[in-house]
Amino acid sequence: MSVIWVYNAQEAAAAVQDSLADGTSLALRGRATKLSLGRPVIAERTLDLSRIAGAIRYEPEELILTVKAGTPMSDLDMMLREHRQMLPFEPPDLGHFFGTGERRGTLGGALGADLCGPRSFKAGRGRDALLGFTAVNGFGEAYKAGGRVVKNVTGYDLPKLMCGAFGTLGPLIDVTLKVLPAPEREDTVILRGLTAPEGLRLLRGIAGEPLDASGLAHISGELAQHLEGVLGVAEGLTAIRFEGAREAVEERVQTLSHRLRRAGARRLGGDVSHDLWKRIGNLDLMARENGVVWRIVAPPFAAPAIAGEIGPSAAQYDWAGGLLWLLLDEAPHAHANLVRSVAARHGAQATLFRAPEAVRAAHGVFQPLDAGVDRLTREVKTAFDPKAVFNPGRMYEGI
Amino acid sequence: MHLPQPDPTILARRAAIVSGLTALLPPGAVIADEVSLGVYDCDALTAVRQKPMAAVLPSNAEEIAAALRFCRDHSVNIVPRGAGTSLSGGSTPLADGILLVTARLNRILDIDYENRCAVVQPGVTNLAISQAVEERGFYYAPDPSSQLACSIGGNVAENSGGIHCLKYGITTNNLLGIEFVTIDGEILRLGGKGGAMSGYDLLGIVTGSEGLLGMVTEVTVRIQPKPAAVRALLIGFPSIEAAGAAVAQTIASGIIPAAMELMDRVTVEAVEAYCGAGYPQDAEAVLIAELDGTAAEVDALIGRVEAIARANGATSCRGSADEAERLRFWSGRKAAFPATGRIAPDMLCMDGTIPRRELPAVLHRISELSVEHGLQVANVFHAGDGNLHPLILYDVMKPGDLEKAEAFGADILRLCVEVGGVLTGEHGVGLEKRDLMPVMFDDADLAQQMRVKCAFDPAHRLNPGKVFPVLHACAELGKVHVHAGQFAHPEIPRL
Repeated sequence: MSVIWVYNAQEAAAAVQDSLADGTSLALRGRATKLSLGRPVIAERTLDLSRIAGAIRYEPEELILTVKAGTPMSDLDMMLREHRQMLPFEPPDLGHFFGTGERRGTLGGALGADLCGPRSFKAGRGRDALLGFTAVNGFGEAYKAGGRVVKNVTGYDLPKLMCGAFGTLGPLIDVTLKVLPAPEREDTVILRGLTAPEGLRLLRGIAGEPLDASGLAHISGELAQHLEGVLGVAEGLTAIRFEGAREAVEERVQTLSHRLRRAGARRLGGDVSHDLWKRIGNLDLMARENGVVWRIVAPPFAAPAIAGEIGPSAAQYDWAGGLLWLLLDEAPHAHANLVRSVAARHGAQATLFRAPEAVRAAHGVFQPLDAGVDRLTREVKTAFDPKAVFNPGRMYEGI
Repeated sequence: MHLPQPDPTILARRAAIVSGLTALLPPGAVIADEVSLGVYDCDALTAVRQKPMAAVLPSNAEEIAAALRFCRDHSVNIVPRGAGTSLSGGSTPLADGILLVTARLNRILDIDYENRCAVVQPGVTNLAISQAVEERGFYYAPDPSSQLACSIGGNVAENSGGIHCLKYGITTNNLLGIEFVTIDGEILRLGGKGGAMSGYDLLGIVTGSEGLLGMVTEVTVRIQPKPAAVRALLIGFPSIEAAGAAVAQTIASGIIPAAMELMDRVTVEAVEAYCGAGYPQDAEAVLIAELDGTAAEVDALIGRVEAIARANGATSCRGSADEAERLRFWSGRKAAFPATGRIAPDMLCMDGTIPRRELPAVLHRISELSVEHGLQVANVFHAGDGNLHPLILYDVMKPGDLEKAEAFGADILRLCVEVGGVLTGEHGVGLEKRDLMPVMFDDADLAQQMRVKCAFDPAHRLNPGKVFPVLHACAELGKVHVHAGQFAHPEIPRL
């Protein structure tokens, strides 16, 4: 497969024009860290976007950052750290999980794959941070949408569509994001030995209180045993993170620890807390286990029932139950029928997040769409990419 | 601000259209007599008035679907309307269209504290959601100033904001799912109590689409626990520059206040004369900064913001001692619109957003424009997120005054885009800013937005004449122009 390296929107548009002229398609690639996410793409050529990288404009006091979409996440982290700021949606580093090693993916890839972290139940996903962009569509034209300010309702909110589209609507070229001040302090309160239903009940209760927790996770014992040192015990781990001003974190941790003291609540300070949530977000604990991994976004109350009906061999619950990561035994069908029917029954969406290529090709990756939504989805695809140039089949057959 | 020319072939069929819809829907759902239609001749953009062909008030999603199918089959235009509070003419009726009103879908269907969400019909008011969950200490965060009257369906259509959106986001960030009816009368679910949807984020694209893509018939929003403590600071500054610097430094220091509202001297004087909110009279700019969180946190942050304000030359700074005082601080800001009514009979409220650092320069230029156009202006500003609301004061009874006000407003919005901002931060494009869209978007940008419109509504029946200056035919927009034989990379081997 031939590879086309492009450096800017004009070159990307020219590559699309070439594809239109000879009726071929393009597989989009940044730093090739997430190629095993989504359905396998069969395309005549690869469009490499990793050269479209670098900062364009960073205005820390406006909480606005404009960068080229191929910028590696590691460069972005450095830029943000210098000004003690962060991306609100906490995109994970899945290098360990997907076995691509230390190489970090790009911002465009994180947005396209809708990667987000433990804070997202509160601070939103990539869709909530992406304010504007330039991109190239399947007509071979560069265009822009959204704006460079945090509050904007001018025209359609195309940034929402681009997030989670896995490149099937075309490559992002420049992106403008809302950023936030990094918290002055973070601390975590943990409890050991709760079952998943007990832990999740506790977490839902905390989510409903004005404690402003920024992480609400429960990890099953099978996974928790992989943690380092004293934390590495084979029993359930329930964790509640607080971030913010010193006074705020102190007051909240005190309140919660006091209430849970009889249950054996412990406090984890800044660095230990930081490391724990990185491991949760990066799926480090699951990376050590063989098997297929499903990601399920659900109404939080349904989480214990969903896991109960599917019966995973290990589970990590985030967002107080709104996000489930389930580890299941290898199987040629990846338990797809079971997982999807349970998810559908509970108003949840299941994604086959890690499985061999043949399994993803045969059984699909994303929750099947209802007929009406499917029709509209295809119309939207046509509105951006009428000749199906971009990443054919990455999301669904024909999309 | 001109409505499109009505289509005479639709107007000629009015009687048949009215009787067809009347036969289709339960008694009382179709209003077509001239007197009753007077109630529906405008939204909150009162400068433009037009009676619709009929006002249709369905009671459920099936009736909305039936009405949409009828309109598609009989080539009738449709203007969706919630509570009619749009400031940009989003629901200004069309002579050759029906007004499809969600007012009768006004029930709260489900309050689900375990999943922290509420499921409501689109005609429920924004404030009613917060009131319904108040007893358990919850609220719905987006709070547009019209929240007492505006409907949640309208909030979804306009992606409404409010004064707390820097910290808590706007409608789209607090929306988990909708039930949505297409122009074909198909009833779809986009998202749900879990929030995310598989496939493309159609929920995200429908939000803020200003009634051009379909009708929202049910809304699931996230509710959240009210902060334990809220306090506000009322700060007077000797200049707009000093106030702007204090806002920038507050955010740079890592504090995201729940709200930061800035008012200029004209506004402060009008407000004081109107309701005596106790604002400092010697100040050129008055800032309200609101902090929320736990009690100790709020007290600490109030101290930090006060220190920043003092360092920037604040002439007065007062923290609210109790809830009554906090509400008194806000009473002036909330009365800003009616207060200007004492200075002039009519007011045009603009809504651009700018990078915050441009505030002093933009306000200076607005004061120059005020002299050039011969109209007074009062400025209120959501300082945290850069959303500027200049209130242009005019008198519709004076010949030419409305046109002057519109020209002044257009100049302000062009200025906002020039300095890196946008045409509208929360009111929507609607009819009001439609013709300014090319200031911000070029042909390729607008074409891509219109192609999305075509994906949902290829015959352009939903809210025509809003948002897009010219709606091109979908067949034309969908054409692929191949530059045959002009390969950009001739060196690449063809497969």
